[in-house]
Amino acid sequence: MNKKTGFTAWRRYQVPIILGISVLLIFTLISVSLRAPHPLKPLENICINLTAPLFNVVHQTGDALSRVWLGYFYLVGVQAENEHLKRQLQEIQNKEILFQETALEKERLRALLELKLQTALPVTGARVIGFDFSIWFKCAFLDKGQREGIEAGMPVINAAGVVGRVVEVYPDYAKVLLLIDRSSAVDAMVQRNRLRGILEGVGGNRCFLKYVEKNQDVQVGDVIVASGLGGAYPRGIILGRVVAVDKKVPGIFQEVEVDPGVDFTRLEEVLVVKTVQSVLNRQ
Amino acid sequence: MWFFYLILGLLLFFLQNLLPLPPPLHLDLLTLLMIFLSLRASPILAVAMAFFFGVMLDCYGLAPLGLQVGRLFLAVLGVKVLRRHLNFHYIVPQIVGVGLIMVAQGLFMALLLHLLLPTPVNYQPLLRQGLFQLTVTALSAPLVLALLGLLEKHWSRFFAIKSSLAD
Repeated sequence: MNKKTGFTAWRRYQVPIILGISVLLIFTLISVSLRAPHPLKPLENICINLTAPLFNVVHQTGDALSRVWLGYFYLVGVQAENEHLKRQLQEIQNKEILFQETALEKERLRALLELKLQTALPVTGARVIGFDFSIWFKCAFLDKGQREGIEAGMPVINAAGVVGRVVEVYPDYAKVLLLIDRSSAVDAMVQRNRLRGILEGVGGNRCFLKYVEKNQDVQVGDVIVASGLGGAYPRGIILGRVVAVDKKVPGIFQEVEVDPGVDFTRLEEVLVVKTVQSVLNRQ
Repeated sequence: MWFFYLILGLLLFFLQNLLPLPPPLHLDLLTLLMIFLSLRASPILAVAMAFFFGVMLDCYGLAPLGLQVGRLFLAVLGVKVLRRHLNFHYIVPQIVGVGLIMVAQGLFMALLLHLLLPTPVNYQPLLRQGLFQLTVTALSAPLVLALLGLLEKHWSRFFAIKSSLAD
């Protein structure tokens, strides 16, 4: 009889009980995870170590299948040739931008030693195995972590430019804050006239170069590069290209919209740059 | 059936995180799964799945642990509240229901991010992207829910045949 009464009570109060416990749990989780150092990091580690290998396998299987499909069944020779030409074109474009950058640097008699130190930094190749591509956050997950010497704060790049910055490191994985995330901010400058500003993500597939006064000269097509200040990104590395300039906005600054060079929806392989600071720390 | 929902959830999680569509076309598959679960499974199972996949989303994302759990939990709760007023078996109520749930989720996220993030959130692009995501997800909800129902039916039929053969 008691059992039956208990069951009836459970049936009656099931929803409020579940609701109460869930709300309590959610707010406990949020408040605990906001503490520094993060006390729930071991839970995150377990979750990632259990699921990331699955991600990796699915990703590699998907890659292999798409390679088979594209390489053998679908436009056999044309696809390879197209890829080769695209790569060549991108290399030439990158070389041209790098050439302009080097020429400008020489003109202003920049310290060659510093430049060498910046460009000769060691890099680690990594594969992107997952994304958080929601409207709220933009981050990527790499298959390399602490064991390969990756540290938080290291810049991540690919052939098209800057991808982002490592924000969290696990033994075998790393989390990268993408350049387009709304909490990303990079000290940047216009390559043509060295005009400085802060490149901020807005969450979409675009960034904005902020704090550029209306009387300054910024044109559509200008290349935006990292200024190297703050030490987060090597100087001169490509961040994107200006796609729109609006001087009619209220306030003293103009609105400069930048298209990042990187296609974030097709990220596969990236390079993690071991910055000057991390190299010196190791030495 | 919990095993089927777990596999299905993992599959959708992989799909959403491995094949990111260009930003305006973002489709919230896990919210749709939570809505499906709240319509088909027990409340305990639906809440447990919301917790599991919420933690997964939080681990792979930049949000503080618990934020996505709360968002998915709202989807489960939303169905419980809305099914008294909307018949989720029909297409239009499905679209309206998913839309309302996503509005609630958006308000929840915006409020918590406003309280938790040290930098102010620029709501203008967020609102535009959010509305686009809401429209895409709500309009595709009838199709996705029907597909999930079909998969569930085939799964139970397959295992019913297997268990009857074993008997």
